[in-house]
Amino acid sequence: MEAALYWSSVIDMVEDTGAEVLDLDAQLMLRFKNGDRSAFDRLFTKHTRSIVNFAYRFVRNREIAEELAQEVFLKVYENAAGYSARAKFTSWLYTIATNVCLNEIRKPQFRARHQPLEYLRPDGGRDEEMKIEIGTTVGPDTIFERQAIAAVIKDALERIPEKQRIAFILNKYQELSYAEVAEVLDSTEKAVKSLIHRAKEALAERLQPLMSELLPK
Amino acid sequence: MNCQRTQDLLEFLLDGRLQGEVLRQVRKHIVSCPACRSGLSPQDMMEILPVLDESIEPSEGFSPRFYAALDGRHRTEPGKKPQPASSKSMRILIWSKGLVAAGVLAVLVAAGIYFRQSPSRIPDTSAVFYELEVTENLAFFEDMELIENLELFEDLDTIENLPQTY
Repeated sequence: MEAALYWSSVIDMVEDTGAEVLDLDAQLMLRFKNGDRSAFDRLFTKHTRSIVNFAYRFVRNREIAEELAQEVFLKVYENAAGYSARAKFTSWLYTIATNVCLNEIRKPQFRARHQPLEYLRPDGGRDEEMKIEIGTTVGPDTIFERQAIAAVIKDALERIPEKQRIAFILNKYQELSYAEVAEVLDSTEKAVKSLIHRAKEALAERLQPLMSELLPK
Repeated sequence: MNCQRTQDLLEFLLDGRLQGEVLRQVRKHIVSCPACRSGLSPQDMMEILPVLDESIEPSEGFSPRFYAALDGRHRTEPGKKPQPASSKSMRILIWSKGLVAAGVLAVLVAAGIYFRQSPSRIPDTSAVFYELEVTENLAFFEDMELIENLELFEDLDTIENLPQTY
């Protein structure tokens, strides 16, 4: 009986996560569509961090990531009339964000200024102030360690095909469901699962030898 | 998050059915617990990449910068319908204004070209009018010619009526 209640609560927790949030977002978007600017402000506040980080996964530069995020929200504002409640808000938002980020990384000037892995220096040549999720106190060595780990992951992500990378980032980093990723990529859930599976294989091939060094013993 | 709870939720994690705080807690536990990750395949280990990767917080200036950019493009009063610049009617209005301006410009350019032409390039119509007048009064002119040559005709008549002497 206790086990059944436990599993029921776990399933509820799993199913509830996101569902209510999506409904609320859709409601806010519809309110904004009908002229309520405060509804847009709430959506902006709620999704700013996610969108800035999403853009950051592609460009790995805070300034550019914020510029791209700004462009995304301007597009949300300007295209509100085209939003249909049939589409989940997050799918719609990330469709815009994906297009904005892909446009940026496909620009020749982006490739030219793109820094290779070797650029990372022990004395710190990067402008990003990272948020450390594991551990409470962080010294300079740890920051450098974290930067090195991030650089290795970035390098591995950049080497997998673009569509696999987008599907992986949307599902694993942005926590979109397979169905939502399929909507963003205009694909099927089955195809998305396959893309993510192949992305994980390719990433594991590159990162597995380093995993023991990356993780605490 | 402890090992037991993590193991219970592992299946959900690998199926991609965890989201939010629960997902983050399970991932963090796997990163910090060698026992829990010992049974994971290299592919499964890719589930924890987001915890190992860096994430950033938007800078303090991001929000004000965004709203400044937004207000620069759309000065919408609160409570009024948004996206004024991109609404269909607004676009049509902008287009029609552009067309009217282009039309006025074209007329001005054409007028300028017309009035800059030298007088010699404007055809002289006096000769045409003269010819028209002649055509209209042709019968009169024929009569005039007859009158003027009347004497000659009379002489011709006289010659024709001369008696034959041979």
